[in-house]
Amino acid sequence: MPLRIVVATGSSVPIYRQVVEQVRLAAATGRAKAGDALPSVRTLAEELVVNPNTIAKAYGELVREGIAEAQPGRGVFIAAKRSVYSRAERARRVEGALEEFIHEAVCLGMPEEEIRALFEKRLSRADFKQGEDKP
Amino acid sequence: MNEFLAMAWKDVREHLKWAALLTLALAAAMAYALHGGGVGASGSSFFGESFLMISAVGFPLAGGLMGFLVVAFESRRDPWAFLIHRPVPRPTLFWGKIVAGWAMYFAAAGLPLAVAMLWLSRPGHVAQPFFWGMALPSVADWLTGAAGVPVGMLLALRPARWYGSRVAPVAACFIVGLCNFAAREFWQSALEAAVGISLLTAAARWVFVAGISPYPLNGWGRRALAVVILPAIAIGLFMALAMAGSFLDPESPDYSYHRIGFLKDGRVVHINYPSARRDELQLQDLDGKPLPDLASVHDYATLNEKSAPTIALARQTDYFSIMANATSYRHGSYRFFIPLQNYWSGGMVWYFRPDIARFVVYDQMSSNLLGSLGPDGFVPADREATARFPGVYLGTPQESKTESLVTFTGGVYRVDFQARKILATLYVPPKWETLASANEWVEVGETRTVEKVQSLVVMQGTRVLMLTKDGEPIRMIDLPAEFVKTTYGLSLCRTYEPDRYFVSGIEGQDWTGPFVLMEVEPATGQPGEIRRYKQEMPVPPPPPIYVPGAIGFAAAPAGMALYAALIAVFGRGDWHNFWRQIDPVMTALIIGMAISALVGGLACAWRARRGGMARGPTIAWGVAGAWLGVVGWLLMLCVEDVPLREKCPGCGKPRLITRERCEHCAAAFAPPAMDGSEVFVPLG
Amino acid sequence: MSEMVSNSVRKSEGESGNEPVIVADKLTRYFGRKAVVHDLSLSIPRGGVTAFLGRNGSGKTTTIRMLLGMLEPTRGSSRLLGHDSRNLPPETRARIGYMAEAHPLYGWMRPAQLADFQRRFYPRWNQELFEAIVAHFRIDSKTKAGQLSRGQRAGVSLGLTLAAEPELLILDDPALGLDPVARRLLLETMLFYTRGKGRTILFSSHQLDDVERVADHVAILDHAILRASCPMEVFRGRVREVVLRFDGQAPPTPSVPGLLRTQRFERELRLTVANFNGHAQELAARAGAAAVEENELGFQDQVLAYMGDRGDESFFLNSLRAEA
Repeated sequence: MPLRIVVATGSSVPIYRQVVEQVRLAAATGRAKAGDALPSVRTLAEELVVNPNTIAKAYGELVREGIAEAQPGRGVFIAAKRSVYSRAERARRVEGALEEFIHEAVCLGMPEEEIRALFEKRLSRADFKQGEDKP
Repeated sequence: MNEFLAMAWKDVREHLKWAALLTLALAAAMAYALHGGGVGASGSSFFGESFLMISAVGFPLAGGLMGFLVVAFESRRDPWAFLIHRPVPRPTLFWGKIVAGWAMYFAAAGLPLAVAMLWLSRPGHVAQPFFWGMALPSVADWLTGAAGVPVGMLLALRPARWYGSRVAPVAACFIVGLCNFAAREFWQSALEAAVGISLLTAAARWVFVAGISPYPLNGWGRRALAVVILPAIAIGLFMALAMAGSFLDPESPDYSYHRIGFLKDGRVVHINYPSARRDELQLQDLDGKPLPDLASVHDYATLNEKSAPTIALARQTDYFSIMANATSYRHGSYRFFIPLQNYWSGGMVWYFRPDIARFVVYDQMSSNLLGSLGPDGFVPADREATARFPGVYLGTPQESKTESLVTFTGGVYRVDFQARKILATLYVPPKWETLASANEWVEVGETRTVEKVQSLVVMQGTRVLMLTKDGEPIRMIDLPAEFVKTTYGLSLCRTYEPDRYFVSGIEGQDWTGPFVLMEVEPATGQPGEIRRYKQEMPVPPPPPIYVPGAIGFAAAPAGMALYAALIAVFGRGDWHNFWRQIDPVMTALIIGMAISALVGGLACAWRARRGGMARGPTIAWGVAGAWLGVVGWLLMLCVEDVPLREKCPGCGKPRLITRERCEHCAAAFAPPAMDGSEVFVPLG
Repeated sequence: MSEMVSNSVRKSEGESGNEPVIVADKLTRYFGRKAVVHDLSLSIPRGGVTAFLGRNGSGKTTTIRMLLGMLEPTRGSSRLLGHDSRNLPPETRARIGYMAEAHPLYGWMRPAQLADFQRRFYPRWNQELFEAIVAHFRIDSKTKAGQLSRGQRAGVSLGLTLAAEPELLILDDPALGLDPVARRLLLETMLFYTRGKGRTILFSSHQLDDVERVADHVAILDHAILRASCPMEVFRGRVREVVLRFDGQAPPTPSVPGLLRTQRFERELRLTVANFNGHAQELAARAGAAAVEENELGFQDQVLAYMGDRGDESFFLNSLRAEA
């Protein structure tokens, strides 16, 4: 499945950061695999109707963070998975997601066991190999 | 060139519809003027009033409309930006537009004119002789009308502080038209049109280049615009003051008029004509005493009944010659033919053609030439006629009758126009003499209907000849040469009861001199004593002093100089005398003028100084103000933008907002206050 | 369309490559006694898209007209492509594309006629590009300009402007009156234009989401005064919201440098601040707030904060409360 990036204007997050976040998330969840080509700056800019400099800046950021790597003359590719986030950051993000999940479930009146069962079931289905570092 | 053509072409395309409409409108107007408009010998051709009205007023209006159109739609902010932001010098765009305006104007006015010319040149259309030269007045108007194009552009372009200054160029166009009207020869008209159009075009060009939210005009632009606006201000101010003057002085002056008259009973009297204050005429004797037996004569009918017949004598050959009317190429057809006033008789229209020295006659219905009448009689149109009347045509004194006297410097004829016949050759002067005038002496009977031709009076040099109605000599009067030379408006009068002859006139060319009266011994024709009676001029009472004072104020030195020049060139002297007679008026004028000069000069210089102008322009405006007075100051308001001033943060004095540094303390303007919200980071 | 774009940047003699394409130095213009542009200094380098923002009547159009030499500045000066704005030589004008507000066109001409007319003035006319843009906007070339919709007129205007291959593009509110589709087409065309190397756009707009998409730089004009001129990211980072929460009624607004807007709620003060120094806690202590929070703002809110009235009057609830 090709990487699909969408941007929203009017958000408090600047457009280049929206691009960075989406690529990062895709890389982290395995929707984008290492070696996948990102669309060229020009193509993505025209697709999203945003300034190419914004996309270039986002790609620069991704390369700097090690999520993507630029191969001169060929384009930008998803990099082999390294630790994309620091340990603390990873914890913060997962906790945020958990908070939301639990909040929603409690609000909907789901009993604790059911929540737990659901969580276990989904966890067992997740493919941990996908995003692993290649040897 | 490419850009210029593109611009011109675009504007022609854009307004072609209007140009076509204008062509149709002008064509319709001309058709009306030539066909249905004026009935009459001179009323239905190039010299017809309605036709000349179309060319003199309609053409500049048409030009103005075209000039207005090529700019009006683009003289608003955004369309103007679209027009101006092109990689061409602005004058190129201007020339493109004005040439488009001219092209459309010349076509819209010229096409109908050309058609009219062709139509008139073909026989059978207008009962009148045709010469191509007759088209010259219209052609001159056609050229002059092109002045309307830059005026229309100025109207549409010029942002003006007040509407008066926006419509001001119209007055300049009016002046151009007036000069064209006053010109005596075609080349003068053409030259005048060229000068006027150049000036207006120069003004329009610089205004166009300056733009609709104008950059200041440069020196030449300002000068051209000043010349264009000046007439409007001068005329406007003068009219305003004249109107104010008429309000201040509501009592209209009493114009009285009198002359010397002759009664049948041999008395010579003063006739005082009715005036604004007196509604009856009055008779007095020559010394101003009332005449008791004539105290009841108060109306014209009674006066005519008692008056003795008077006959006009011309003192010089050319003075009363009808050809004297041919001074201008554009007023009347006299350079080509002379219409006779008997056109209504018998469906025929008669003209005298100086070029063949014959009368020609047209059929009023078919407008075709019927033939010509010469000393050899009538010759139909299809046969060649060569005989010429001798000398210069002096006129037909009673041409409204079918049977009429026709006078040339070389002979007097009796002609029956109805029957197209020469009835008699009444008198032919000796070879070395020329006739100055010939008139029939008509006795007026108890009622006006009884008219009896008694004799013929001919003036030849200083000699007056009286002949019977068939040309037999009766009597001869030799007038003193000096008398004939200095007296104007000569006439001969014959009274009855005592059979007396009087020659009278006015001394001096300007008609202001004394009446001159000379009795002639009837038997011998010997001139008697010459008597003079001072003429009381029909002078209005002097206006209150503030009226001429106000005129002086409006005119200022330049205006007065122009005024004096106009009087010197065109004046017949009356006004000249008028001002000279009444000293307080002249004094008021001079005082008004001095005040105006002082006020204008100071106001202009002060405004220039305040506006931070350099020394040169300041002096120039001061001089202009002094020379033009208040008009100069108004002109400066129109032409020169003076920047505002505001308080200097440094020294507190008012300073020009256009200068970076204060002219007093060299401080800069305070930058706008910062409020900490500024985010300035260099880009890139 | 890419092969139609010429990458060459033409420079006239004596013009250095590094000089900014637009320089305004203390540009000031009065209308009557009022300064509608006050002391505006600005420098826009070659390349990039600059958005010129401000409310109606804040002086954007006046500034643009002065830059293009269509309006004489009361004082100050400006240069375009190295030439004084008052005296732009025709060769320089040829390198500047300008679209005036409201897309003026000759209503009686069809798009093709407009192009025929326009190309006579431009030696480097790119007819293919014009046709491509007109096609992109789905304009029937047989319709007269006067009968085109706003968006189509914008398309024709843009085509006429871009076909001249300008290296500097100045657009005065190009999105005025356009529907969303036309606005998107406009943005796409603007982005397409920037493919050429060294091409610069200055455009004014009220469409802040469009601006957010395409602008590299922003310049904000507020009541005749230029308040911001900086790269987009800098701007995004500099304007933030500080929320002060109180236990009781909120006290009067504390003085904060760079305060743009105050919104007053029951127990809360929301301050929009430019160049906030980051000492939120200190501010909270000074104002006696129980809690403080610092938020990022969307671009629209950031710009709105600049355009509105400053201080406490900025939110109508404030004045209502004051009356109560």
